[in-house]
Amino acid sequence: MIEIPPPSSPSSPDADSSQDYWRRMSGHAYRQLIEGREGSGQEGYRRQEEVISGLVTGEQRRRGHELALLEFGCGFGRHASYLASLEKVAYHGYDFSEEMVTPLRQQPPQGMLPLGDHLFVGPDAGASLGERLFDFILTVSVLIHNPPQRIRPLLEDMARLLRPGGCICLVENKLVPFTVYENNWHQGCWLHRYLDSIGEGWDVHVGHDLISTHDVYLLRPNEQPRRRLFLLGDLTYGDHEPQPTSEATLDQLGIAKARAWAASVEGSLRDQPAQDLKTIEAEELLRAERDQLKRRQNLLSLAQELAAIRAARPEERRATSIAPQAASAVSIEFDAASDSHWAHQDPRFSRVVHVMHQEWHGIRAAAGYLPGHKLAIPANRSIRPGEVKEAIDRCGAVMARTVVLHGWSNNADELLHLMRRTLGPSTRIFAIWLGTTAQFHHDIEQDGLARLIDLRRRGFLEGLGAVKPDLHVLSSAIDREVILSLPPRLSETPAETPRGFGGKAVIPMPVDWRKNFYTTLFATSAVAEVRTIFVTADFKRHPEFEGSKKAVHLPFLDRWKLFRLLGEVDVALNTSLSECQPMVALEALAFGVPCLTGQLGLGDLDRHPYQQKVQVARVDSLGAVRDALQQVVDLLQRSPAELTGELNDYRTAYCARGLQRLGEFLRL
Amino acid sequence: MNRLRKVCLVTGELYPFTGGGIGRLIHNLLRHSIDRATPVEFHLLLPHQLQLREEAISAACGRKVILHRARSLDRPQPDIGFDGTYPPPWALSSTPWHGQSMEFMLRLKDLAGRGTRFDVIEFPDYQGWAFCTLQEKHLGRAFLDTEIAVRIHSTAGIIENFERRHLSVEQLGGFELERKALLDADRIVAHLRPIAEFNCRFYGFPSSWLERVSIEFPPVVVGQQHGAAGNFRRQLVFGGKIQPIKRPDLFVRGAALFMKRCPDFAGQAIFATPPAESVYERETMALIPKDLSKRFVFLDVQGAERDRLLGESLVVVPSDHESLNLMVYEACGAGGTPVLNGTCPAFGADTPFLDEVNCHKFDGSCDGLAKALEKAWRGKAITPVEWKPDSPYWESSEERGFAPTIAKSEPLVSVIITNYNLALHLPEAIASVAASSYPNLETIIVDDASTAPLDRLFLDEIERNQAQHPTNLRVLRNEVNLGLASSRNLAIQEAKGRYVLPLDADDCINPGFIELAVRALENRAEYDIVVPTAAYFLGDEDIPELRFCDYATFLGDVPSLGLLENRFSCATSMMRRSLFERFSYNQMLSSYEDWDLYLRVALDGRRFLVTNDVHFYYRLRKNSMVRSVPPQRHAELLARIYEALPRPLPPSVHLFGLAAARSLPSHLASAVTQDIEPRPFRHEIIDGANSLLKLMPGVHQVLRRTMALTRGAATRGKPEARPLRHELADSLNAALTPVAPLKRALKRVLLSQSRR
Repeated sequence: MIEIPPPSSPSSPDADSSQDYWRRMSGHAYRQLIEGREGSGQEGYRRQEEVISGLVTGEQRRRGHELALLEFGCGFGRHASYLASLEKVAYHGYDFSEEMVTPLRQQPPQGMLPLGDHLFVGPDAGASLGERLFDFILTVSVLIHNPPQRIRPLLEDMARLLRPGGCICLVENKLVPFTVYENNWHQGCWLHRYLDSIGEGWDVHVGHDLISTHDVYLLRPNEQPRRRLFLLGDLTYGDHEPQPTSEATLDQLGIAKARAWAASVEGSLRDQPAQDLKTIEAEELLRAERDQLKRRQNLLSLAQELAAIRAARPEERRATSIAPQAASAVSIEFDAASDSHWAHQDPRFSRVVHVMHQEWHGIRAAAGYLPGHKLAIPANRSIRPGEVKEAIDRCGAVMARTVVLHGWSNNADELLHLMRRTLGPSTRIFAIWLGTTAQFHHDIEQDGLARLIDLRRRGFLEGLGAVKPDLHVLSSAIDREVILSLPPRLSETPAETPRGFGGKAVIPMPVDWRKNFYTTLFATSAVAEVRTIFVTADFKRHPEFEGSKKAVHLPFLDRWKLFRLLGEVDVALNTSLSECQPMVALEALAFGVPCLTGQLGLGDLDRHPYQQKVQVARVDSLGAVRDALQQVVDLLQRSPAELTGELNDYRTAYCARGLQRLGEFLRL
Repeated sequence: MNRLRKVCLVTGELYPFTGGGIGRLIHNLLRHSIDRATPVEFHLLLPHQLQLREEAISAACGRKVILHRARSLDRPQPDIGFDGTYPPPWALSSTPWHGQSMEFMLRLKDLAGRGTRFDVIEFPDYQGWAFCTLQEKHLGRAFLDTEIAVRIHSTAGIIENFERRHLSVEQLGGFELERKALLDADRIVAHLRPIAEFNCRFYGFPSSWLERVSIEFPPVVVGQQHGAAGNFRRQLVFGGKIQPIKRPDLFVRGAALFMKRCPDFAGQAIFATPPAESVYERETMALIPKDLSKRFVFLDVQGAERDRLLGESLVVVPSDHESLNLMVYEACGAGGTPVLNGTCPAFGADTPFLDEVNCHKFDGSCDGLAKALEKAWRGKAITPVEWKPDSPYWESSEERGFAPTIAKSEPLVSVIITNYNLALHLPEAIASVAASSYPNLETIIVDDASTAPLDRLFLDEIERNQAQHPTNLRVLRNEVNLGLASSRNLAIQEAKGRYVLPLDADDCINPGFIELAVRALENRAEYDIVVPTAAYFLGDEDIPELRFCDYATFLGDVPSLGLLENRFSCATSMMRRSLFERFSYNQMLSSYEDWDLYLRVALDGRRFLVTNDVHFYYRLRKNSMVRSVPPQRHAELLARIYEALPRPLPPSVHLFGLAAARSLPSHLASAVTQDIEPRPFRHEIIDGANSLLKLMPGVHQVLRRTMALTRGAATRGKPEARPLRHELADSLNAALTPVAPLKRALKRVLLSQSRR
């Protein structure tokens, strides 16, 4: 008898690392691996189950009563799944690794309930199983993962758990004439010669080649001071006389396996560098998941392909990418400085939120001067979910009761619907439309107002107001009375003292025909007293039109610069062909600078002497504009106090009326 | 039995720390078990509001009882997954009890995670607290080797059935929660067989339900020697609370009749309970005849004094329904003579009470009570009632196998994605299916003749892709728009899976849901549908971050509440395809087709499981709100659904729920998209005129009466839907309409008048 000790090179696995390995191995992963092997045609597993079931039922019949069965090293429950259902067999499982039995604990077979009585886990079998004894103790591919020095203690542990008349059944490696370290699978596999560990007092029945991959060793105490060996013919071994055999015969039978082992070692020695067996194992695990993954990946790549198509189509503006995006910066503005610096103060509006668009500067300015909180959202790109949430949170934080939308956009529509849903019906939603029917040739103007009217009719909006008078003629959904935009509120009121006429005018208008820029420019320059005309537009100058010489072009004016300019000029002009309530006029009003406009039709205020002086009836007439400006200039030269007084009085009346009207509209 | 068994009792009451019969019984059960030194370790799980000390309870019970308290879910608690994984309590269905049930389940799961495994967890039937724990168990996610029991004390639903108090949707939600808890329990514990049978009939359970019921007579009295026969019979005592189900009215009338018939009886009629100061009490006391008023008194005594009072009295229990009534047993023990309503199931046949042996029974009528009192008073003494407590089920180690077994196969699941111009979001829906942990799937996309270019492009692309990389995905394209119901039906006919999962093109499914649901349905043949709890999201990045703006939660098979609200399920759920051999989506419905299907399935007695945590994501689009159904349409659709229901309705349906529709929560009544008709101008005018007329009261009255007479007979007697003046204005308007110029002129005049 030769005994070859396991290789003892430093890299070789020892008992501890093997145990560690099994303690850490997830039962789920191992099950997948085993199922993968089963699936890939390892007939051995099926045959193994057949043999084990046969042995167990045979033993049960032999004993004639319910068989208490313990599977020593039950793992994820591969054998539990069928053994627990056998008739008159009480299946119990023991394992030292909680990690391995997790799947079994999560989905135990019916026969293992209650689990507390059928499943035992712990480092020490004796301690875990307590006083329990069993008729049939089974191991399947357990001892092969233990080093030779562990075999005898393990068998002794099992023997202590055996009831009188019971037996131990090892389904382990094939017979070998000597113990040998087989390979690195699962941190170490051995081919054990079990006869080395089995002493006197045992009958050993060996089932050789019942299964192609394993041999069966059936150990039965014989209560004699000697060891007897038998060969197990077939599964129903109990029905006929066991056939006695000798150690030499068994070793001879084991030579075949030893040869095969030697051949495999030879192969691995030849194929240097040896392939890392861990890698093979990992590959096998991966293969087990491959099918499942492939299906998922096909679907997923289809989804991604579709998402890419969507992203490539600019018209699908609200498309969201399937790939997780870097969190985009939230760029809604709540109570931005430019929206609140010049705002009127009024405690009634403390729970009002005005919603306007960042890119629509005129409307934003108008809304910015109103009392209440301001929320500026994007108009030219779709609003992001994070921004919607932020907007709603901010409104919630100021306990908004009234939300007023200025203008309409898809973004605003979406936002307000979500606000209504989130903030509840106690939050009232209003809208103010800041356009004229003159602009209806732009679809967006027409569609926006139509949508607002629709929302008003359906009760979503509590009120729909307009800054252009008489829009209710268009639809009864629009409030009859006009809303007044307010001039900015300046922290320092301009000098009450009249300052006369210094010859400076400003025309802060773009060049387009609705704004009537050229008429205004040439009419202004026709007034002799006007020496300098500040313009913001880049316009075409012909030397033939001498009036253009007075013009001084300024680059784009932001609000701060515009306000500084208004502090310096003597008169402003905004005589456009069509207008609601021009912001330039209101801003000039705040600075005490008279501003000429077309006729706006603001009800009672139209009758105010100041309004009558600065409103021009025929704005497309050079003469009419010139004459109106001349009158104002004359008055500024002749009696500046009169005009300044009227202007200040008009401003006071206008602001009071505007705030009152807005309060009525919002029912505050 | 030799192993130490761990039993957890969930309760909101415990004698002597709180009032209530449930607490008394729990106390008796603990004492009884502890007195006999049974190897059971008792745990109590209390709601978070109830503050009791473990030492005090252990002292009162005579042995250590381990105390646990549920944690309030009012704020997020990431350590128990309450941070977006589970919906917050405010989002939970129609009843606050659902939230409490969730709190108990999470606490029990937390305990299990820390290694405390119970053999038995017992809930009271009252308030349906077992619901969430049962769903979790039947889904195979926790408590697998624990038996979940529900003890019948009397549900709020049964009490309300006798009292008909404040009908509300909330009450109906509670009714269904209690019903589901009783139906789904592993074991039901009843104290008397007739009570189990009553519950079975009342809730319309199948008779197989009774097989899961254990009949156990409890220790009704502990620490008292029974059989102290006094039989003095000096007073009449009513021992219950003053509430309708206890029938104090019957006591008053019967006692008064008895006093008149037996003038030689000199005793009093005593309410042995503190006065409730309620409207109902005042109504009841008003029934006492004037001349007898001095003989009806309140006398709330405790302890030995109460025993003495009960012992020397005829103790009357006229209740319509009791599940046990501990007080009668106490009274018997003290030597009192019970006079019982024989129609009450706790006192009828198959109970310890035998007429004229150990009690006197009457037929539930006033006259019957007076006669029984006379017989009890004049007749010979009776013997004390005999009872013996059964040993509780938790002491026997017999296990009923309810835990799931390993699902041996992974049957095919058909995911059915219906699309109509929603392809914009299709990539996310497909990706959510692809991410599923369940391997064996087929996906069927039904396109209902989408018109948007992107949709057509996507479908072409999918078909092209299929030709190159075959996956388990098919596209069905309807040639014309058939509607959602027909599209789903078509796809289900095409489906090959054992299970089907409908999914809308703009929604997403949790990757774990399919595996979870299949495993549950494979293991539990008695269930047909697994319902995911749903959350609303705005953008696709909200899902991984568990950032939801709202939730939709469900109770599963709720045949009564389901007539009023869809608390069955969202449109997405895992269903056995075999269901569609009997059912299909109703193609006549343009909305609510899923509600209608679930309703019919539930009425057929099919059962649903509901996940406690969020498993389905519903995209909140701008249009999904515009699409929501206005009230008028809602009513029309419901009418259509009701009309098509099978007749007769099964016994599980209680129609009293329909009356609760009146008290729909205000947020439902004022739906966002409510259609508000603009007020016609003619009504404004006539209203103005009316307010002017009201300044002259006589004239207004006369006109009003005249108008009422001119109304047709057809409208007479009907509730006045709108003011008379509006009808007048409408009829004038109708008369003027053919004469357009005149109408316009008149309107102009009126408009200019009204402007002033």
